[in-house]
Amino acid sequence: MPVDDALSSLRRLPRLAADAEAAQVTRRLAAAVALGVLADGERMPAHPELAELLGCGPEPARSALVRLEREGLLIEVERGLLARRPQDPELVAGRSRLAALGAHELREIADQHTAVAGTAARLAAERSAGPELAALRALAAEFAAARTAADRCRLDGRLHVELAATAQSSRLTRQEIALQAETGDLRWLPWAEAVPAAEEDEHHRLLLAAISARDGARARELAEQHVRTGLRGLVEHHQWIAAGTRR
Amino acid sequence: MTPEQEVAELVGEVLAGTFEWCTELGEHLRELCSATAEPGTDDLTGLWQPIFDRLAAEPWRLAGTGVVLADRVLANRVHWLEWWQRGTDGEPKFLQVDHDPGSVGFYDYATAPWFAGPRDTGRPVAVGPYVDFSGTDEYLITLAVPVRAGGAFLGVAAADLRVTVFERLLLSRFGPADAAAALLTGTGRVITSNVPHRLPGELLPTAGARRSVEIPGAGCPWRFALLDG
Repeated sequence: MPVDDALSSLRRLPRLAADAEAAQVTRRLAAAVALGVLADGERMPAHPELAELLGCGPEPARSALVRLEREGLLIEVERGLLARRPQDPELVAGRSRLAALGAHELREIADQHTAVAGTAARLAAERSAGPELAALRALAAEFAAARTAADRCRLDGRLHVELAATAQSSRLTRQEIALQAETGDLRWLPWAEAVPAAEEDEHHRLLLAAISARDGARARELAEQHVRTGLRGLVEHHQWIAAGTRR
Repeated sequence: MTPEQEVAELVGEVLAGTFEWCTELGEHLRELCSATAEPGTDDLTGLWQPIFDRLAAEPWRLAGTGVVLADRVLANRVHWLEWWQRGTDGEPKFLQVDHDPGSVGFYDYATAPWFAGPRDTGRPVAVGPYVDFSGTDEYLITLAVPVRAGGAFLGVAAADLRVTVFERLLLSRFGPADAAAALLTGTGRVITSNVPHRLPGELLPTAGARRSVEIPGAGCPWRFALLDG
């Protein structure tokens, strides 16, 4: 496949900040390969050219190529590095669901999720007792230690459901479970997480601190922000896929 | 032609094509009503074939279409809409609504802008996107044209479009890496955009658009705008 194809695919990605770090460049490229914005088998340009296309520095671009090769998202052949789309079944299913959902539908789900998660967090701040808080902290710690997207998806979902249960509301808990089932898997697609795990971890930490300080207003605000951040990530991935497949 | 003019043209074509269909459907209704002295719901079955054909011809575009009748136009029903959607199985599906004015779920379409607008001004309208509660319960854009026979207002012939139609169209020309852009209604509501922080249904701050192109031809105040970010 000619290099030009990969270049035009890379041009479809939003540009990175000039001071983007290797981790950000890696995340952007990994998601592009996983979501199929870079087609399977497309040849990657050398790192100086890649840096120019993405708008980042050459060193982070070089480092990203090395990391992606280690992850198996790029393979080295005689002609250079080729993109290799993972055949992970969760990713394949999630990608087609993300393509089919519109930005409007994702926004609708997130609106409801904001209402449920925000109220659950506020009530949890008012109603949770010591042992429940300890259980939430234990889940957050397990999440922080998790290494695969599947584990993160399970633990993050579990944490938010437990939080609704801590609010002593069976109705909010049922709604939280249903909402987690609807977008949980899309937020945690392997290599294409809507929110980077480290950022998610930070959200959990702040939210649990607000709950244990019994600051209901702050807990609600953080829970709402958390849903909104995830929504933006999902819409962004949806737009990449939709623009990539229709050109 | 600039890319933004190109998108504006494409949006204009979708709207114009849909309005043409509404006019054609309205013509069918007018004929049915003038062919019989006391038209009833049974006579409306004459609209089925053209409606089914249209739904099958444009499955990705039309969410639903039909006619909505003014009070007492039909002999056997005061309040009626002959409305069809494409079901999940691909077959046409009749829309059942609550016709009881005493019920909280009453589909009070006489005050809806897509009904009252054409009735009061005699002109076609594009309404939305809005939540069509008690009707389809979906988030839609409705295009409607008035249907008249002699001096009498019979109702409207209309079609529903989902915002995804326009999202697809916009993203095919303006990807995430291109300039930030959005299709906006006359009130500055986002119909669709190519950036994750301008979502369908949100209002764009007045200073948010750098420059914009009007949607040609269709006579509705939509515009396609390049955003500041």
